[in-house]
Parts: sequence; structure tokens; C-alpha cells
Amino acid sequence: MSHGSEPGLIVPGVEPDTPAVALGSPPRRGMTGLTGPDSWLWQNRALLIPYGLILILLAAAAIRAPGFVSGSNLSQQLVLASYLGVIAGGQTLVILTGGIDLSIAWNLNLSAILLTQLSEQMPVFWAVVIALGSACAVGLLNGLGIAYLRIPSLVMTLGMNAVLAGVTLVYTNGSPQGDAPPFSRDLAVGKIGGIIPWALIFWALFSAVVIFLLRRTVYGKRLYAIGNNPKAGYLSGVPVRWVLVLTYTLCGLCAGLGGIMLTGYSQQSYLGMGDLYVLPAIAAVVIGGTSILGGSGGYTGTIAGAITVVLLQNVLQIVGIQPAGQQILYGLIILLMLFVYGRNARVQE
Amino acid sequence: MPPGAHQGRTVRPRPFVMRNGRLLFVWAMLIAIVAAYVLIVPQFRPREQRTLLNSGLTLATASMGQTLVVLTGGIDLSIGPMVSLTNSIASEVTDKEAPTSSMVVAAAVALAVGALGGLVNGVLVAYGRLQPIIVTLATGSIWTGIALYIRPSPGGFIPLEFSNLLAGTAFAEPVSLPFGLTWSTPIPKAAFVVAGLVIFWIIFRRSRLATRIFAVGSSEGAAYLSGVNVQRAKLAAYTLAGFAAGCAGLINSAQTATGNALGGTIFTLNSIAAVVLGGAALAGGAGSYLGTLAGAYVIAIIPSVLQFYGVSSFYKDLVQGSVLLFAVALGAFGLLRVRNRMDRL
Repeated sequence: MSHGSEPGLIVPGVEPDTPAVALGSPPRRGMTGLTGPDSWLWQNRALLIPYGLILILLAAAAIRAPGFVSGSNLSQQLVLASYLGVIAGGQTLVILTGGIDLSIAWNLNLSAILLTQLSEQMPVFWAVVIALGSACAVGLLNGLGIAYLRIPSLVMTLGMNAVLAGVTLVYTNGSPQGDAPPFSRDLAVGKIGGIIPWALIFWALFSAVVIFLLRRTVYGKRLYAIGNNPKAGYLSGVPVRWVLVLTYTLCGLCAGLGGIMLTGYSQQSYLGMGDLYVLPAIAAVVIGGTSILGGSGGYTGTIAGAITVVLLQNVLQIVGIQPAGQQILYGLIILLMLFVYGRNARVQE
Repeated sequence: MPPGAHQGRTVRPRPFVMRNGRLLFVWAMLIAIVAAYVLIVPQFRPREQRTLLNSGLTLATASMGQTLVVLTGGIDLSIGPMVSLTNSIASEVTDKEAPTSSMVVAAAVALAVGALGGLVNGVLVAYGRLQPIIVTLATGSIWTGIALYIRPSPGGFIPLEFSNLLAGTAFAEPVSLPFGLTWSTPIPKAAFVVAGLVIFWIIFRRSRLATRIFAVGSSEGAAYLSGVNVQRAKLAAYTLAGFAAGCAGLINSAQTATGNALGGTIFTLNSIAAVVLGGAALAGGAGSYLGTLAGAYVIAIIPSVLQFYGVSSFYKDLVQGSVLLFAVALGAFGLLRVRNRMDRL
């Protein structure tokens, strides 16, 4: 399996948000100062860095364009981050198992299109059920292929993405019809009393559920166990394959929810609307401190990662950096994060 | 361990067909698709042969790099952006006043940039000990950014001579050979590139570097204990992959005769699909470019076959994705015979 997991890490950490690297280093007494490997700062760097980055980005924006840090604009930025945050939620679960899901692009696109096309023919409730059901079904298929046929997640979801793109094109004949139903517009851009966006309330509830799942449920513990070492997990009685199937199904569900929100945001569905969210979702997870090898991290970091990614895109624009420069900075920040969050163990076994 | 290896005292090598099952499968698939193509096109003249070979040439070249990286157990998501970057550079360096000399410079710069980019990936993965998938995702983003700086909108100039050099037909007129013989069969120039790739692979496969790359991909720890310089082997694989992406960028330039900072994006995922179709293990240590080559052409030819059979182009992605999933699912049948349930995890 992965060379990064060490034998001592079979049992997941008590606090899931603690990076595995810190667990791996031997406890040293007398090093609990501000900068030592056991210090609070270093232990929580996976959380402090993205939130620190957010502050830096906001400061840069405030200097250049003071209007950017107004309350209404900040809440607008958070709303934009909520779409990415929901999509990245599923990706967080999958990455925690050590896998990756590239099929969210067309999975969310298909459910968005199902929503707009079907809501013209049937009650919106059933259109939503079918849209989310198709997203879950895609995730279930991914999970079955990965867990039972043991197809590498990268290949399974890559192939699934191509199949879904084809299915969507054939289903829509190249031009999706229909408008976003009113409820999805309210969810994406509506505000309670004209102040608090519904999207933020939904994101808060969603976050609470995901964090509860990860920290307080048997499923969460099993997820970390699989991510750290699937064989050890299996020997400890974890139904590895069922947990994998469930995880990919949940990831599909998150993609479907994201699709509904994005439909509401853009008032319609269009082909290719998911492609812009795959890499940012992975970036949000990685910037949030979840190890791409699985087994360490959590959704708290991903929330910060999603906000960071959205701010990065918009602040750089305000500061006057072209899309080309944004791409470069984007890559550099991900690389920087990788160096900060811990690297693979040296190969010497 | 092959199934049944510990039943008898002596370990007999498995029959040729079983050892090369995946390779034979993908070549059978390619032959079937080419046959379907030949059956439907009105004529299979040199022009059609050239179209067929050219359609998969960039992907076949880019997939060489992906194969080398996958053999080490890594993955390179920056291949597509590197194809775009070198394509953008080539279209920018060339000069209409001096097409030939500027194209030579452009090609040299593009190849150097490709190798350098691969080197950066290799250093980050091997010496930085970072995860390849996310490193190359990040560097790919950086290459795209640089390409967008160089070529904000598609355009630029690629000399016609260069396009003819890589995408034209050789021996269009009969050539007289020594001993009074003449060669009168036209050959697409792409065939020479494919032959070059295959010859490179056959020679490379017997080199020490290839052995080290396979060893690292099979088991990094065991390779390290056997005295393999794991880091240097990985560095070489990623650098060669970048160089191959640079070559692919030049071929793409010759074929499209223009520069596009986003034109190579598709080659990242398609090169992975080609490698997987070709039977290489994503975990590393097993695979062959001969399989990847067939896989690349299967993926590249499917759209034109569908087009000739009058199938809507909407089905292109569906068919390509289904072929990929079908091929990998076939590989999973071996699992049904695994005795130890641990091995299925």
C-alpha cells in the first residue's frame, strides 16, 4: 500500500483533524514551546495556515479595494465558497480513504440538467429526488467498481466521467432545456430577511453533518482506519468494502447537491458546468490539510480551503493579476501547502 | 505471486498468452477498430492511412511519458499542460522571416522546456517526497499559467515545412534505391515517428535505467535495499516524461499549425487512459509501451470510426469511457480466484 503510512499509525488519531505526521514523530518532552514539533501551533498548522491565508488575502484586497471587505461582499464571497465547499465535502471523504473522485464534474452536471429538464415535466420535489438519486447512483457504481472490482479510483472515476459526459450529451441532445426551479434559486442566492443567505445556512448545516460523521460516528472512525491502512482496518473488523461504497455514494450525493446549488446560482444548467469545480475541489481539500494519501485531515480544513480558493480567484482579480498569474499562484500555493503539511516518509524499509 | 505458483515444487513460467494477456487484448481491440475503419471508408489510400496514423500521434508520444511515470508508481497530471506550453512556445519563437532557422530554435527551446519541467516534477516527487498526483496537478496549473502568458489567445505561426516534416507523406514519388530497385509505396511520415517510439522503447527496456524504474515501481523498499538509487530513477522517469510531453507539443504544433495555451489539456486524461488500456498497473512496476501505443490509438481512432458509421459525435465520450471501464473491469476477473481475502483489499 502507500509508503507513507507507518506501522504505528493503524489506529486513527483521537482527534481526526490532527495530521498524521505529528503522530508519527516521537513525543519529545520539553519541546512544547511556541515552535517545537509538539507545540499547539505546529500541531494545528493544518488549520492555522488556510485560515491565515484567508486573512492575508483579505488584507491584500482591503488595501487595493476597500469595498471588497464590506459585509455584503464578504457574505457574497462566502456564498460562492459554499458551492465549492459542498462539492469538496464529498471529495474530502473520498480523499480520506486514500482515493480520488474525478467524476464529480459530469456527475454534478447531469444532476443539474436532470433538475432543470424534469422540473418542467413533474413536481419539483420529484425532480430533486431524481437528480440526487442519479448522483447517488453514480457514486454507488463508482464505489462498487472500486471496492469489489478493485479498479483504481482514479481510473474508475475517470472512465465514469467520460461515460457521464456522453450520457449527458445524448440525453440533452447538446442543448439542455429548462430553467432552475425557484427553490434552487432561493437555496443558492436567496436571503432570509434580505440579510442572511440561505446558502450559508445550508453550508453550516452540511458542515455540521459532515464533521459529526467524521468525528462522532463509527463510520468516521472506519474511514480514518481505511485511509491509514486498509489491511489493518480489515483485520480489526472494518467492513472495508462497504465503507468504500458508502463513501463514494456520499461523494456522489455531495456532487448532486452542488449541482443543484450551481443551477440555482446560474439560473439554468449548461454543458460543462462541473468541469470548473473538479480541480478547485481537490485544491480546497489539499489546502485544508487533508493528506492526499488518506487517513488524516478533516472537513474543518476543507471549509477554510474552499474559502481560500474562492478568495484567491477573486482577490487576485482585484489586485490586478491576470488569469495566467492566477494559475501560476494557484499551483505555487498548492506546492507550498504540500511542503508545510508533511511529506512522505523516507523509503528505507 | 501468480496463482498456483506454490502448488508444485518448480515454478513454471505461465504460457505466453497468459503472460501477455493484456497486451494481446489491447492489440486485438486496436485491430478490430482499425478493421471497422477500413471497412467503412470508401478507399483506404495513403491519404486515409496518413489521417489514421496522425490522429493518434500526439497522444502516442505523450503517453510514452505517462507510461514511464506510471511504471514508477506515480502519475503525471502535468503532461497536457506541458503539451500546451511547448506548443505555445513553438508558435511564439518561430519567425515568418526565417521559418527554418527559427523553427529549429523553437524546437530546441520546446524540448528543453519540456525536459526542465519534467525535472522540476521529478525533484519535487523524488527529493521533496511529495505525492505525484498533487505535485503534478500544481505544476500543471503553473505550466498552464506560463502558457497563457506566452499565448493569451490562440494563434501564432508554425512553418508549413515543419508541418510537412511530421505530418506529411514520405516517398510520394518513387525513389530509386541502390541495386536498381525503386521504392514506390508512399509512407505517412507519422509511421516513422511511431517506429521511432517503438525502437526507443525496445532499446530503453533493456537499459539499466528501465530495470531500476520497474524495480522502484514494484517495491520501493526492496529496490532501495537492492542498492537502487530510488530518487535518481524517479527523477529520470519524470524528466523523460517532460521531454516526451515536449515532443508531443511539437507534434501537436505541426498538426494544428497554430499555438493554443489550452490545446493540450485533453492529453492528460487521455494519456492515463491509454496507459491503463495498455495494461500497465497504476500501482507501478508492470506495463509496456507496446500496450500503451495500442491504447493511445484505440482512444484516438474511436471518434473517426464513430463518425464514419454515422453515429452522433455525442456518443464519443460515452464509447471512450465505456471501453476504458470495460478493459479495466476485465482485469478484475483475476481477483475472483484470489484465495486470501486480504489480497482483495
